[in-house]
Amino acid sequence: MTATNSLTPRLGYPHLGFGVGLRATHYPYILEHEPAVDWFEIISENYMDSQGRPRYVLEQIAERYPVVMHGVSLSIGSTDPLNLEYLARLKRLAAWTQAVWISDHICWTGVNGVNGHDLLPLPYNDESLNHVIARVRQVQDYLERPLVLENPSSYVTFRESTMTEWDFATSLCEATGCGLLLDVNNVFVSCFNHDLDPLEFIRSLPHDRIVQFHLAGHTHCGTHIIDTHDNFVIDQVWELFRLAHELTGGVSTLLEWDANIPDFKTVHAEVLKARDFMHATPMNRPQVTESLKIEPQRRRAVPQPASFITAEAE
Amino acid sequence: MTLHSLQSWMQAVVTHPSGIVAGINSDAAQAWAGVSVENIESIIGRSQSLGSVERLAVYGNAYFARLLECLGEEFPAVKQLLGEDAFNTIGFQYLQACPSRSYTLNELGRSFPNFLRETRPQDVPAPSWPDLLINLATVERTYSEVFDGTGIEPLDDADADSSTWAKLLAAGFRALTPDELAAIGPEDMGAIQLQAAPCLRLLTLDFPAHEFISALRRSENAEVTPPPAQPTLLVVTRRDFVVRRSVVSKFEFAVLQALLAGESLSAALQTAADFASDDLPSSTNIAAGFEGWVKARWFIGFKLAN
Repeated sequence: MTATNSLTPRLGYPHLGFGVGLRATHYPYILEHEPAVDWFEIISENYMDSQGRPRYVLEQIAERYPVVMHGVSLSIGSTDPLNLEYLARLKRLAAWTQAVWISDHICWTGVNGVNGHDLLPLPYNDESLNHVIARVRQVQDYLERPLVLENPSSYVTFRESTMTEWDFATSLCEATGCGLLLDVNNVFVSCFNHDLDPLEFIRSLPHDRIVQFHLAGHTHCGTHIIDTHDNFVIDQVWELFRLAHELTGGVSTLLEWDANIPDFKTVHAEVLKARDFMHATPMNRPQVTESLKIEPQRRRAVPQPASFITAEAE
Repeated sequence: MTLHSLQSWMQAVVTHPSGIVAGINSDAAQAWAGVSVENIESIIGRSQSLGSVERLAVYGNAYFARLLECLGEEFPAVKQLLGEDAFNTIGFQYLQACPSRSYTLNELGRSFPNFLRETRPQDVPAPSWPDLLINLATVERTYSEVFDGTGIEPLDDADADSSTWAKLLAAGFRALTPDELAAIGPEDMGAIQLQAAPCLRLLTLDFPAHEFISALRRSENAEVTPPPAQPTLLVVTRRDFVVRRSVVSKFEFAVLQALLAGESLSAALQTAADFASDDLPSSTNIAAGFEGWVKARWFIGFKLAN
């Protein structure tokens, strides 16, 4: 697959509306009530090997809703070789779910054969850019579709970096034709942690390449913010979302909630708030107070992703 | 510093069991980047609020916390019996011995029962609490594998079909149903070989660990008394996407083992009779038990032995 200079919005992918990340705790509700959700995003690794209930549930959901695949273990930035068995399973899963697109993160999850199951940041320089460009091309050739890559939340910066994260993402898109999954919360988290301006981050991205938005809650630790996906979206992130919507003209929007997960209606209602923010002005801005209503559990804040489906036994 | 060196260094630092400073000073990290704690800012920049070591600690704290959380979700009964602190201590040791090398967290707990077996305190007589822990871990891991592994329920995916039914047909087996079973003549019955469901597992336990696990699930975190030792032969399988388990007798267990090894029904019954002569059921009970196994889909195919 070669690079393209097409300005077709979203790489030509459809605007799916407002979706929710599929989580096992919501299986019974979704199957029973068939809620009017526009689409679901699945964690690819939870289903690519499944021959049990998760796969059975996904079959039913994929029949009724558009499904997008979101991975956490592609490790596109790792210097380990790409895992071809993983890619084969990813492709097979995409075929039978008819995934509208496949996404992962601009990150690495481990090296020397180990997987830390974390989304670790890259230094942003020519070496890492060329490395990721080559691997994205390889993956896209294999999957026979453009990859969509997300900006991760990060907690460190490297002295080896010679460019900004947004310049890195822009160059990656230009060279490979891949798309971007703009996680608005991650922009807020990373910019707070690195003393950067989130508005500059979002304004500097190639907006025609943005295929999807992510929204989520986080945990503010005073000196830094951790991307915990365990709460409502905060007002400042909604403000960033409004800007991103304005700059892109609107793209598929999805809410992630991975810890302290409330009932499905609450999660769905949270993503639907996006509609109110899309055209909000300072005069008619929605009053968002939910952000303060859920207290995080008294446990150590752990950045997502952690994704494990427990067995159901009699 | 190359990208590979940087990644190898960072991984050595944030996964070090004694924390970031120990990680920076470790031989593994020093081999990739000979940087001291004092000079760490030559690799990791500081922010206005946090120093470089503190920033790395976000990843360091998360590494073990995330994986321990996952282990706890897969082994809730082990965690309940040990208590959170002891579970985390053992889990911490396990993660150092068996770091994840898979793209999926489903593999994280695969070696946990064996790790408990290998690290069992030798000065504690068996069977006692370490064996209960090992039994619980074995059953919980089996539940995970049976729950998400290949089963007998129809799935749309052609690969699933090929891995179960196509292999069965290729090996000369026919689908086994109660009707098919009834149609087999009595003269042929002893000669049949059976194909077990791919999700069928046989477990030999020192404790009825499955009862503790079920009681814990029903109790919603209320106190559950651990069971006393009692030799238990457990069959685990899956039906309608839910993991099922049954306790069987010594004789039944021996029959099942022989059938799984490929013996014909008559040979399996003879093997079991020799092995469990003190536990022989009546022929009526044998027939009823066998029909029950077929009805429960423990066996899904049959063919006449040569």
